[in-house]
Amino acid sequence: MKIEMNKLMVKRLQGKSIEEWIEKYPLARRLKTLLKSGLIEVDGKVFLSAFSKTRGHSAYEDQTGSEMFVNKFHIDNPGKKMSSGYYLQQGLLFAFSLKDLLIKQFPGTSFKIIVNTDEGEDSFPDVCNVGFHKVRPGEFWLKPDLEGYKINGLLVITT
Amino acid sequence: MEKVSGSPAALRFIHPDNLGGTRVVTDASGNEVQTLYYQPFGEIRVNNQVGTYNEKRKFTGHFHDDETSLEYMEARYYTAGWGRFMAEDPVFVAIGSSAVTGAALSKLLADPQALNSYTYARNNPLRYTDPDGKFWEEIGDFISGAGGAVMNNFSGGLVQNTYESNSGAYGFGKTTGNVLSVVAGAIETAAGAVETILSAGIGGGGLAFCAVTGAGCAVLPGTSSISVAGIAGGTAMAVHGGNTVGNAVNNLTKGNSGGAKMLGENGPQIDSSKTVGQGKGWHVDIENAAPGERPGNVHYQEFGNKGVKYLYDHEKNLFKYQTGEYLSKSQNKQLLGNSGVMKAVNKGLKMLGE
Repeated sequence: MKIEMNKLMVKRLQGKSIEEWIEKYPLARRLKTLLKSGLIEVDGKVFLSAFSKTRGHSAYEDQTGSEMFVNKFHIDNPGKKMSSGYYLQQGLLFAFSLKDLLIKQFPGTSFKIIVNTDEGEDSFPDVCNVGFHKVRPGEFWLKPDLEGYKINGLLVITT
Repeated sequence: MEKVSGSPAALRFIHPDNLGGTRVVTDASGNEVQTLYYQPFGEIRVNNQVGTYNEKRKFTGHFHDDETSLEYMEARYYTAGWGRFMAEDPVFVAIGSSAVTGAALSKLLADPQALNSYTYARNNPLRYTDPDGKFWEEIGDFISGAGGAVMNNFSGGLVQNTYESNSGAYGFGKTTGNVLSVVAGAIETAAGAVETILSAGIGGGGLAFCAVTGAGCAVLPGTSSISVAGIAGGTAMAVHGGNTVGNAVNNLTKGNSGGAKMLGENGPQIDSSKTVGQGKGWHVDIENAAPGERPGNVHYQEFGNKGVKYLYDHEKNLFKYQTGEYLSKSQNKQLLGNSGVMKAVNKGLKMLGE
């Protein structure tokens, strides 16, 4: 397993270790439900089952793009005030739980799980996004240089 | 090439010049039956006829009236001997009416060459033509379109034409440029492959160094055996040629005759952002994870674990599913009529550089 981060994410983590972050709160009920719904493989693409039913499976541009479009989602709760960093904490916890699930269900297959925060000028700072895709030769979602993403804090787990 | 009708049994082909005028006419066997050359303003300089066939379409492809020696240019007759139309430009005559306003009016009044309503093609018949007797059309549009497409394809999008026009000539020029790029790219690939093979010594001969010249390396068969520079240059040429073909084919197949314009191509790298807007139960996001390599997108999403996602098609101003199917009329009407959603969509497009 490999974990990569850009500087914006390092700043967001405020010097705390990832373990410290993910231990802070348990996974929210809705995120647990999402994980419980499991993973489904369709035409070589792996999706979160809960989303695959509502978002369709057909190719976006390539298999990786299609997976990311379906599997990426926001973690937030508009209208409900949560403590600062809560959504990032939930995103990290979900990402590592998902990593375990992917390894268990697809042993020997490499995946990238991407956690991002929104750092734009007039952004919604507490929002966290999580998505994942299979690693395929010749396809990618993020460019290799994570520092090129100037408005996203990024953490990438490669299984 | 155009099929023309002469006598009932005759089949002839017109080969036009750069202005669309008849230059050479051939028969079904490819034999020349007529050759024409013109003075700049359209007077016939040479008219070689083999036999009796005389093509009626001549200067700029317009019908030539042999009895009056005038060119029929649809809205007006034109006399090539004087380089003037026989009547005023109907567009000029319409100044003051609602038919000529805005940019068209400005174009007419700001240009001294346009103030004489009898002149032909702005008195510059090498650059402009007048397809229908109503104002001129710039031949340069074709050249600009074709040149821009070729530049774009060869540079892999690094060099792009900043001039844009909606004219038919410009669009045709772009398509032509893309087709030319395919051919030129294929030739470059083949030349690169040959150079690599020769430089690798397959051509035989003694050891020699070849001169690196810009795009690659000049190698004389039989004089060079192994040249690292030659192999590298040849390989680079072959790869570049392949990329050029790929860019051009991509533009042609996408119907994007105007070069590789991809949503978000000039925008920032954004994995995902929700900065563009949200409302009750929805938000509008943008993605541009790999600008220029994967199209960016603006999408509408509803909250919740199973929240739906709809992509916004900025060319058709419609929302669609990921499968490519468009939402129903009523669904689209609802989203397009939501000012909050559309404000966010427009903000997203702006962020993507649109």
